[in-house]
Amino acid sequence: MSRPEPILDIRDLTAGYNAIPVVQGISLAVGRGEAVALLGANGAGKSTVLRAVSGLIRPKGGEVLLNGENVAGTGAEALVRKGLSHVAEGRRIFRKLSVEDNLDLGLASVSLSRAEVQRRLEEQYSLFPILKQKASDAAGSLSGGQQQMLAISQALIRKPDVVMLDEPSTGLAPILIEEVFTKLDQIREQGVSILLVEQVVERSLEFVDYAYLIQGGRLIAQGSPAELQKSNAVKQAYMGEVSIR
Amino acid sequence: MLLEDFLALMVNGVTLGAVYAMAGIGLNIAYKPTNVFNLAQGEFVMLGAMLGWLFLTDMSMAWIVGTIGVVLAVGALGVLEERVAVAPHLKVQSHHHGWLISTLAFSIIIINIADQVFRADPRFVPSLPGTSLDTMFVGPVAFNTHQVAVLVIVVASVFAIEYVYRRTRIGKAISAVSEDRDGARLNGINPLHLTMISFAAGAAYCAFAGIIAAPLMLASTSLGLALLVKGFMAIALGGVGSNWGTLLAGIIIGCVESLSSITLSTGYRQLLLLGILLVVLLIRPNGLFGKAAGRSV
Repeated sequence: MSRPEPILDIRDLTAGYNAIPVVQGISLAVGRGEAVALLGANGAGKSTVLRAVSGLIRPKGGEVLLNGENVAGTGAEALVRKGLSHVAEGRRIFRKLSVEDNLDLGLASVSLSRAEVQRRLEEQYSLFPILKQKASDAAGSLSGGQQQMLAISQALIRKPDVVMLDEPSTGLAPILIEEVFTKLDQIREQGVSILLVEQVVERSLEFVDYAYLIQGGRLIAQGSPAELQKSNAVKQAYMGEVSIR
Repeated sequence: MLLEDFLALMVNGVTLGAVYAMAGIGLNIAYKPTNVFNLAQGEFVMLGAMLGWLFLTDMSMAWIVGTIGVVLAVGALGVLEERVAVAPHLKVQSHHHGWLISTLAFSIIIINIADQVFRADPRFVPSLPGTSLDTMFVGPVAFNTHQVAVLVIVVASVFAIEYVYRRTRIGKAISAVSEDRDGARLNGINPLHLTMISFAAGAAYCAFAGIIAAPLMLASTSLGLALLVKGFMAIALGGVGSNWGTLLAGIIIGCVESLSSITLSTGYRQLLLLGILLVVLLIRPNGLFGKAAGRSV
């Protein structure tokens, strides 16, 4: 099955911290309207890929094409304006500010009329009704699942072309993980392209159209979820070399 | 002590304390998006007072024109300090305490240049327009209208600052940067712009404090260090980041200092103030209105 034209095309990306490269030669693409997973064990370099793509760290090599434009090395605050949203690991909301102020800051990069801001807020409240109930509460007082919803909603409110989510299920109970994936389904139905970094492998493969596997900072496999599930690659990515007799 | 004397000392103490609070609030403004205590903040108050003397007394400029000139000039100096003494440290996580020495160095440079330009003599700066330093009485209370104006300005300024932080997007963005710099960047907020704006605003605010304090204290190049110490005491007592707490703490410090001036020498007054500060911090380590930093779990 052919994949849609890429909206985010990462080519031969090398990135790391100080002089140490964490990921090397990573190439992956997210098609328009596609949901793609980047899977791998702890420490494989998944978050580093996202941090380099979103401009939190400067890539040491390679290209990041967003809507055909090479944006590698562009700062995070500028990339947001170009339509890339990154929901970082660990529910990076502003805990001291209210839920509504958090959502309002999601629009800090765009200039909108007061009426449009209100319309965007209502849109997010209809997707995440709990946020409306808690609109004036401090974000830090929300439960873990609600904080994750807020972090996702904060990224969606500016209507990005691509959303990159870094382990949205971390620290959540299974029932809440399911709720997060249900919301991600609804977001994909709205036409938003998604790059998902996860450790919850089976549920992620159920959700996405295509997946990449990373181990030790290098891609080791890619394919449709069905292809990957058939192969030994997933086991290898999470447990190292495995021989199945 | 007569009631009239007591009230006169209290009025002096409250006014003096309001000036201390302004120095502390200037520190808070620069601290919020950076977590940096700007050790040159006291010298910005001094520069406000000395440039106030230069523009308003020596050059006889109209008060509003001279004041805008002083505030803009010192605000620009705040931006320069942020660029050369703070921003390079904020870029590199492992150097993030380097600001301690770089802001101290900046303050020493300012005071040395000011000493060369203005010399050490105290200078007179006129009171706010429409006010006077002449004593008047309401019942047993002796005060002057400049003192009243200073108090009104300080309270109004705290209302205005809190309004900006709580109600405007730029204020919320500054709070966001103070909490999570990378998180703010991922929402399209440029922390570098906000740290520059905050350093300019903190410097301009302190310069204005210098202009309105100078008629009460006389402008001199030794003003900066004294006000930096009092400003630090006010934010430690009131709670770092709490502007209302800093205002109340500044007034407490001013009143204690003023009331004790009849029985204690300058050295013992400092000792008394530091003793009170230590006792309060032992009971409330985050100050009277400071909030304990939450831990993420």
